[in-house]
Amino acid sequence: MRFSKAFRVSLPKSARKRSIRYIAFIPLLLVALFSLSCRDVTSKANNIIDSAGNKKIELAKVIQHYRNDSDEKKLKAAVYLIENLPLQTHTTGQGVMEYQSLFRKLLKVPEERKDDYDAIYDSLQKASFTNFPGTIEDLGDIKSISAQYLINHIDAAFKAWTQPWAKQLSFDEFCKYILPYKLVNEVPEIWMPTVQHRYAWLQDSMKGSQDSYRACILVNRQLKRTFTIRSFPTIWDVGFNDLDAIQSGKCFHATQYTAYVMRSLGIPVVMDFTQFWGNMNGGHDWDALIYNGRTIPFVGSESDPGLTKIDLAFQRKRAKVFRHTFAPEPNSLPMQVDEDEPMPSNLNNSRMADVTDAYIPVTDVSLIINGKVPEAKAAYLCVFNQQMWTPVFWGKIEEGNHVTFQKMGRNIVYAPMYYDDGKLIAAGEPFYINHNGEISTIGKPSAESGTITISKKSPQGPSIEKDKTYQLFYWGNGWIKAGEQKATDKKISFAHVPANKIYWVHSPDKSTKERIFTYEKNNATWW
Amino acid sequence: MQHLFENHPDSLVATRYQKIEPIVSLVNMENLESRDSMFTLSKPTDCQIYCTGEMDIDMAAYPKKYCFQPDDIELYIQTPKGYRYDFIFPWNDATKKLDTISYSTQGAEYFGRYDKSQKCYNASILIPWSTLHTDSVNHPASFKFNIAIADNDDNIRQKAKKVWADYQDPRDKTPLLGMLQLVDTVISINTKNTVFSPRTIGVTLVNNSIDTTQNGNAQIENIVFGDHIKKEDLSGNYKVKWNDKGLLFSVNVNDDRMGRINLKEVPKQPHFQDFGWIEDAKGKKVWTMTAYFSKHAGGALKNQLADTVIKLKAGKYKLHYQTDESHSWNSWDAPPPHTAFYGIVVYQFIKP
Repeated sequence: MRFSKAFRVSLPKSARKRSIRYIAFIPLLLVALFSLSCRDVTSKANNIIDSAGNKKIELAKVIQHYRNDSDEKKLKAAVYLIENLPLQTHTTGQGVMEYQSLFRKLLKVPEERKDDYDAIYDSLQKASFTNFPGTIEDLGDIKSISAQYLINHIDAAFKAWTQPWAKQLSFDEFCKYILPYKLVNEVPEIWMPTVQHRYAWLQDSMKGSQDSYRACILVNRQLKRTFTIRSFPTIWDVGFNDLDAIQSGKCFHATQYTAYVMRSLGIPVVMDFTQFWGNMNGGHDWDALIYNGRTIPFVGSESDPGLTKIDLAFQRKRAKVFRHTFAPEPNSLPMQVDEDEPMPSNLNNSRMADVTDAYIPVTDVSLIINGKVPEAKAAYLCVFNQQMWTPVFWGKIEEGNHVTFQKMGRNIVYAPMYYDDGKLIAAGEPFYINHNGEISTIGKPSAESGTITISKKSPQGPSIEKDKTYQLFYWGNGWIKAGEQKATDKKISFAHVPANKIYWVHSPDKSTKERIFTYEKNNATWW
Repeated sequence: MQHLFENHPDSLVATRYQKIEPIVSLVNMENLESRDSMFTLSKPTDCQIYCTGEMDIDMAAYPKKYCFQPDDIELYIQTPKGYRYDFIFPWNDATKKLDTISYSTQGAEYFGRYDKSQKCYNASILIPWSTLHTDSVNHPASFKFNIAIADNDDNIRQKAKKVWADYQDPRDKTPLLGMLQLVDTVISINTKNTVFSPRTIGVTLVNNSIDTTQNGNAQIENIVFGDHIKKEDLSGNYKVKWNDKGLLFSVNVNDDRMGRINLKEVPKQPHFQDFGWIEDAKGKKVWTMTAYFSKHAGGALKNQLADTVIKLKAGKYKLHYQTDESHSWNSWDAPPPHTAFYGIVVYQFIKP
């Protein structure tokens, strides 16, 4: 509104009324100009602008701004962002404000107490709020974003693209890996100019090199000095400014902060993740440098590209690897099934791409699924993670009971499931994919039974302890108890156990470390 | 195999092998592959092995000069005539859990004791004048001198090193900045070392008598390797005396953990992500690629090669090679090795 104020000051009083009417007319004029000449804007973007309500003017301003720019790619970039704007959301509301008030207090925690962020936060929260957090809602970015914000960001992204090590990126790569104004579901913020100013030394340090690999390592060297992988409490996705202020976070935050910094400098870095390991609890997030078309993982602020192993020498197994994207992925689950199809929350994200085959050998699994087929359009493959079957990927059900799960990681046991009314229901026997990609079913009906003797609850322990009570379960469309015994030794035996099943030895102590196993020739194979 | 060497004049493989077929090979595999190949030797055979692989990344990123080095004390002496002597006294190869160790090396006598209750080493080192090629000492005499102490906590590599009179590791052949001046009377020690000016004092010297007080000891406190080094991790002091026989050093090192290198076991540990090995008919490993016996293969430091000859008895063997999740042939995540292949090749040995 600085523009209108200038008019009011500079015009004589007699002309003021006319000017105000004229000013009020400007947005309408913009919209009209936009509508009259939209051949350089895709129909998709046109539709989004037309249906943007009171933000239609803002989006039209962006288009109009870049129509006057000599670089046609900037207009295309604006169109790309607008085309993908409807899916972008962030969290807002009273709860966010309350969180921010606690977060600002966390920033004052002295260095020596920063490892206690979670405990400090808990006590702050109890002292400050009774019903924390207050109300929140997901707000579409399109309802809050301004023309000036988008223009500032696009200009900064193009500045990043002019770096010597970024020039080789195609427009498509630029749109995917540099241009997006956000990385996950954080509040849109200005971050590129801040980083570009702070890392202005990079060009000198590159000494004429155009190698983005070298640039990535130099920037990561600085991140290692400043950012610490150390948990702090978050409820929703935080943005650049919070991460920049606290310079701490879990591996997810480290990768997010790293991606902000790298992209601002024209280094194409993505955020990849495995939601659930195939052979242990939890998952992992990491960055990847896109280098000559290849995906090279690293953990920003911790380890460098080329010196990072995600699986830690076969200790961890990945069933699936996804990548956070800005544009919706046509093959994502929400894009493939009806809007009202119930689906597991971890897969209900259209902005994550399956990139498993960029990392590990994979196998397509085609199954005929059993049992009652609900009205579901998709079935799921689950891994055993955190003491339950957890969905890691989906396949579209076709011809009644045929389903194909594409690009699944190997050396992992999977259980096929339906998702119905918030629950997972067995859709067939579990199976494993071996090293060579061959699939073997586990648990086919058999009259055989035998004795299982076991000395620990997982490959690395905990060991069976004398005088403690253990339960043995096997999988048969549900966990079925096969026996309960008090250990009289450092190992325990269960008799008359159905053969060729997946088993699970459970006791209340250290139960989070328990793993499933198969049993053959008196030997357990852990999964 | 010959095609592997086309356009690779600098190949790891000697030219005399490049036109012949190997006994067995496993090369250029993809990520996450594990392969084996049987071979039979009809008579005892000298086998030339060439193997390239990817060293453990934490090992590869670690300065190689600190790998496979135990706790040690290092003395660096340059005589007035300009001859330099570097003495390394490792707490080495103590396969039995001994807390005392003594040996002669490079013409010097070393005696060391680890005090478990105090968690410190006390070492005495005698360096005879003859070792320094100095028959007699004219007074006053001056030697350029430095002393370093290093800490190994994992029995694999040193994690920290401190030096008396420099901020660089003298093992890198840097000029010696300390001065050892022989005098006939006790003088005080300047313990406030600075790196920017050559040291002219810093010595101790009692002619033919022993000063047992700790007050006169010089502190070894400049960190040249390692981060966040606590005093109990590594700290030390020393004093030196002399007589007609030579220089006698008394060194105290605070170290909360003894760090040995077991030279019987360490060389057998691969420390590799991608590597090859050979098993005999009973499945016993008769050769494995190991970090201890490998060297850089060009490109990223983690690219390592082995080039060795072993004698195998007649019999059946199995060659193995495995790769991990990343950095394999044509799927590099860091600069590739400069070798013509990535894997393992075994030839019948040919004399050069």
